[in-house]
Amino acid sequence: MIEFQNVVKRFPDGFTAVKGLNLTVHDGEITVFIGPSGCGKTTSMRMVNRLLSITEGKILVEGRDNRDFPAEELRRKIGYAIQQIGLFPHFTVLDNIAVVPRMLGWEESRIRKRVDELLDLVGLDPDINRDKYPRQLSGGQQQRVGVARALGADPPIMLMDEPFGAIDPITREVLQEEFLAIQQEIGKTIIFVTHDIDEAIKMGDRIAILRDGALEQYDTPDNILAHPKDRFVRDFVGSDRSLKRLGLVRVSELMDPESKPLVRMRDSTDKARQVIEEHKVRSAFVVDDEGVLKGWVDLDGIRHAPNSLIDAMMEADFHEIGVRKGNTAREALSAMVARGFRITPVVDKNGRLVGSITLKALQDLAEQEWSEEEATAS
Amino acid sequence: MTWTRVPGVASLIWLALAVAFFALQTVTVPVTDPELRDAVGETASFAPDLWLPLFSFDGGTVIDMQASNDVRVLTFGLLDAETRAVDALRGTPVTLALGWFAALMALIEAGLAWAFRDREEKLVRPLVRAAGIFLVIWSFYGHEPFWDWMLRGLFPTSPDLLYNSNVLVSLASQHLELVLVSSILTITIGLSLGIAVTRAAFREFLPLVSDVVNSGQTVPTLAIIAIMAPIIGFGFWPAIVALILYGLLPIVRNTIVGLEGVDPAMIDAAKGMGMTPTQILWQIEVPSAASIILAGVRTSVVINVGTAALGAFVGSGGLGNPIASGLNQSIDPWVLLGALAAALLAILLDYILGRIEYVMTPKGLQIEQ
Repeated sequence: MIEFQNVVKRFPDGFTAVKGLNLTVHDGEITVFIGPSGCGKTTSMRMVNRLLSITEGKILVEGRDNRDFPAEELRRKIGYAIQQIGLFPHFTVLDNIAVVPRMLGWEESRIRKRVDELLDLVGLDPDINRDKYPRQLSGGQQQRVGVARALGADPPIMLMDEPFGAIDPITREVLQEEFLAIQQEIGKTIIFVTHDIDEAIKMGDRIAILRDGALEQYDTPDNILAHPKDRFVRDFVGSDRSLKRLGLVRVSELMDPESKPLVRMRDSTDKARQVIEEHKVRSAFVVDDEGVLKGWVDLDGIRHAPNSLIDAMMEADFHEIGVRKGNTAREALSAMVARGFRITPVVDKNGRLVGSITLKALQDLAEQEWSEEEATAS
Repeated sequence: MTWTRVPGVASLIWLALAVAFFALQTVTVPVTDPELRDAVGETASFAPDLWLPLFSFDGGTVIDMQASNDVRVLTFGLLDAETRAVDALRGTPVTLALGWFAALMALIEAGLAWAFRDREEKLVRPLVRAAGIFLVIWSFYGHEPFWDWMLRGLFPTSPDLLYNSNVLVSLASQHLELVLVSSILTITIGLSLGIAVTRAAFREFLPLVSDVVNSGQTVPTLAIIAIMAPIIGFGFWPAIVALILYGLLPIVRNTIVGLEGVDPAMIDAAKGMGMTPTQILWQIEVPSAASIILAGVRTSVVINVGTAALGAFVGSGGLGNPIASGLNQSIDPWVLLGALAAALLAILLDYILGRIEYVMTPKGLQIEQ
């Protein structure tokens, strides 16, 4: 746990970057510091490991004032990853990751084991990459090593300053996903600084919005999107925040597991008509014997071909018509808009049909939000 | 380093061995002057000490030729013994053999560079380098007939060709001593200054140090030597002071440029991981700046080889001796001998430092981005 207590940072030139910050970063959570430039987000983060001194107030790290430790000792217990990565070009990948463990005096065999473990964790083959130099790696690979290095000595706390900021958008998405998966596993207490609201919503368990050195709003991404505290926050999160909020909801939360108008490939079109009418829908999903989604049939299609095998009517495979359980509602919406569906089948990771999601369910979520907002506005 | 470079490296090792053997051997010559024989005994030993030529006599008396010019002048008998010793030193078997072997290795390297010219991207450099090493080794190690032959071609009518008061390798040793001692001091001072003024605590001294170091190079070396001689006396040290002042600029400048050029993000990362300032300096900053710093060292040392020749004017010895004497006595071959030998020495040192620079530049930094 990291506690900011009335923290003030005043620079020698008189500029006050942080004005009495009070905030608790909870264990095992990613807390995102976000705000426009000059809001004090990076300054606040850098005071945690004392790269910047605290002018007033104090920061408790795991219950102790962070000025109780020598600065170097404190920093070795806190992982640190930055946008520019800052890998040491004259060190191999192994030596880079081993920096903190070596300073802590780990056995060399333990370090090697740890490095391999970390490379595996960040998705780099240890045998191929261990002895490479940073300049032999791509930007994305370098940042993976940067993250692995920050995790080197398994610190309970990590500070990450726009770690994916300098990476191309596609690789950034991948790294974000991967890092979230890693965090599921390692459960570190993380302060994550960014200026990208989409990244904040995606990565954060909690988001602290800062403005001119003061905390504007501190809440979960969903609450911030649903209940922005004031105009500044509302502007900051953007006018498309209902869409953003859909990005926080998983398809599995909105789908209807009961609504499965399904027919098998060997069924006849008559059976399909019967199922469609039964469910009061316009189309039925076709599955094989394993329950894997294979396509769909609609009323218009079978009207012209009574009593034939559905096999022949199939449209496409599930990648094109279904969404996955783990996708966000935003992705489901996008898929439905693209295909012109009002209902879309939901599949699990093996492609088996597990339910369906309707456009209406998505709209309802957005409406619920608007009405909430009207309630707060009035 | 590819295997074709092995002979080149071997030649340097043999060269070092040849120098060592030369330094260790003693030449004993009979003392012919009756007065001197009465005073010191039947024979005189000449120790071509790497640093200073010494005479030691049977009776245990040691006369430092460098320090006591008056003895040299007064004792003709000693001069006679010295001339014989110098003759005896021209081509003693062990040094000769080692010198030849080293030269042979350099030739082999040149041959390999030629034979594998398709595989090696650069041909001219290894060839020139090998030829340079060969020339230095071959001409310095008792092969003064080579110089004799060459100078005779250039100066057919000159009565004196070879510098007659010391052997070339002794002069080269003295010269190297000047260069090495001054360079070690310059590197120590230059690195310390460069590192100090890039630390936060001493950063305000950066412009001052820059100015002093710059002016060190603008003042003519001969002037510095001339000023120093009355202050610290003639001989070795005034030359060293001048060489240090003159050699500081490239080292200090490159150290500052190298250290200031280190990616600040890297230092931030290092700090954030809990490295101490000392660890950051030696593990991150200095290795990152190594190639730039070493390039400065190389420039400084090579410049010093040329400048050290001026030391002869205050009696510091070295390859400047034949130049100074040659100018005084209008003996052109001596001037050329000293100048050419100094140039060859500079090429050899530049090559050796180039190798050191290559080896000491961290591997990760040699990879193109």
